[in-house]
Amino acid sequence: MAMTETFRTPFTVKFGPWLFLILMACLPLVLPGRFWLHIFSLTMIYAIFVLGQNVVTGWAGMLTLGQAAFVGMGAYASVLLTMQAGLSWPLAFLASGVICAACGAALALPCLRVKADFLSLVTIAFNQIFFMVANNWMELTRGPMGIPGVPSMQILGWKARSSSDQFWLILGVAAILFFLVARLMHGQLGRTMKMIRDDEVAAGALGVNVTGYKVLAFAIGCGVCGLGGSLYGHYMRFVSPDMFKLEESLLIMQMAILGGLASMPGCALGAFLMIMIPEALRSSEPWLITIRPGVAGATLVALMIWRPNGLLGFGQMPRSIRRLLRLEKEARP
Amino acid sequence: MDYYLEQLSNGIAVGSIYALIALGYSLVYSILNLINFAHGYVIMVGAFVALALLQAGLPAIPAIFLACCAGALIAMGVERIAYRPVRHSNRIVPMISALGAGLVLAAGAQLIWGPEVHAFPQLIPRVPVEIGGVTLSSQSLIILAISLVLVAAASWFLHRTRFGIAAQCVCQDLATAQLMGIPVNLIIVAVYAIGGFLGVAGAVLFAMYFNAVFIQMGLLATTKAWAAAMLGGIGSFSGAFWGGILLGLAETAAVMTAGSAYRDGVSLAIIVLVLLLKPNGLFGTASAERS
Repeated sequence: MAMTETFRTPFTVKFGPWLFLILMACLPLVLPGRFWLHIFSLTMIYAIFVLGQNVVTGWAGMLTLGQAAFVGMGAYASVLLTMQAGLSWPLAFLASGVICAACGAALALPCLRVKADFLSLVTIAFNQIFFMVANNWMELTRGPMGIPGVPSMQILGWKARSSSDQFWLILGVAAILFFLVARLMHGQLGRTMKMIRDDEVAAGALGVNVTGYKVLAFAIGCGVCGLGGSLYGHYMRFVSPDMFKLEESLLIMQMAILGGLASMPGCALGAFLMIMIPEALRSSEPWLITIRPGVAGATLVALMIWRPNGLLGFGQMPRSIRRLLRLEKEARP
Repeated sequence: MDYYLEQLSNGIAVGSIYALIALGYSLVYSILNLINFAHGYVIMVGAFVALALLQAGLPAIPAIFLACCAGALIAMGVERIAYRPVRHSNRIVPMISALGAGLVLAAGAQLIWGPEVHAFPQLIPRVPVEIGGVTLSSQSLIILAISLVLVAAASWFLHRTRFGIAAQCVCQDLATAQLMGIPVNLIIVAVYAIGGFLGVAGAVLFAMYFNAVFIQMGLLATTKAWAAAMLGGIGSFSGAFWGGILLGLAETAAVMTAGSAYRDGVSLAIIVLVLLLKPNGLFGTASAERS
């Protein structure tokens, strides 16, 4: 009986991520020069930011436009905790995630009680307020000069000194974060969020605590961004308010949408495309950099009209490709 | 005393500019439940068009009128390209496409006029006027008069003409209005056009008052107009007007007490405070959401 046949996870879904992880881990051995290694490290860090955005926008269906503020908050928290309070990096890393998740929940609660649409405005406002505070609170953040000389990442005495060490450390952290978020989003929590995204009124009528889940989604997204921010600050060895402007938030949002809403591989693909294409063209076509925001904007409009869930978003892949990847079974009579 | 009255009149004048910009937002929100992120960018482009026409040697009034018409046209184009195809999609889809359209406009404006701040010609004389023993700035009074005339005209159009009443009908219930034979697409385009027209008028007054036109004005206008619209209650015509006036007064008060660095922080703080304390705005009424 076709109906009672148990669903087996396709092998591409089962082993694909592991294969990808192994291939990525080999990258420092084959890449020529440190520049491209740096670009790949940056891509992975951005993929973490995009993951945070995607939990909020893709799974829970709320448009947030201030993730860079949470990235910045995580970066500043981690940098200040290691440099001023003398905490070790792993502790500061976890603390920055907790701080950002708590701030996210506190910010989201009042506006999600009213309407999720307002969240996008409040997060824009929050991003600008964060920039103002970071730029003007001289005693704590040194203002626009930024904080130089941030110590490199260090775990139990092992210090990530060379760029390939840092690459592997970031890869490990990113893999753990992607794994944890995937476990959450493919389980009951993620399904409930999708239900709220698709029909809020129906979800509420079925007894789902809509506001609670939305705040939880936002807290998770902000926490992930905070963790990514800690990596970012200690990888760049420098933090300044300019790194966390509203433009950065818009970039993260564009990556999430380009790659695909509610899609794990989409997070990586979006970050990859939006960082690699400009970097690859930077030397040969410098004028492209100046019109990049416009191109990105036009891409957004086009995506919204023809592929509103992004390149790899839910139910958006052509059936032929899904069959090829064994994501979908052949129709059987 | 004189000083306070003068500041009061300045605050009301700035507030009336915000009201003009906020009306476009509020109208679009009340019809489509859409946060029109592109509105700020549309009116920024309109202000640049006004500047270009003035520099080309056109007299002030036709130049500004043409710029307002250009704003209406751009708003209509944005509606046609970026909103209409996605009107029936998930809520966040039109918001994202609005933001994309805004980014395109900003990049286009930056390509044409460059990233720097441009000075705007002072078309309104700035002389002290004495009224009943109080000295006020003529600029504030003229700006206030222009805004009031425009708001009154828009109010007449929306509340007294056949077309305006049809637009209100669409605001209340889009599907039913369509069933009653109201040309919904035409009304929506017209509302965008009115919003763009009034918004560019507001942006030109803004540019004259602060003597500056710049790309970031798009986003600045977005946050300020939203603060104004939320303060008065989103979706309400009179709410957007009074919200704008109150925001202008609050900003002036903040500049007087804390310094001009905090001017832009006020609108952001107001958005958050209104959401916390009075989510339907000062003049709004609560309503349940339909699916």
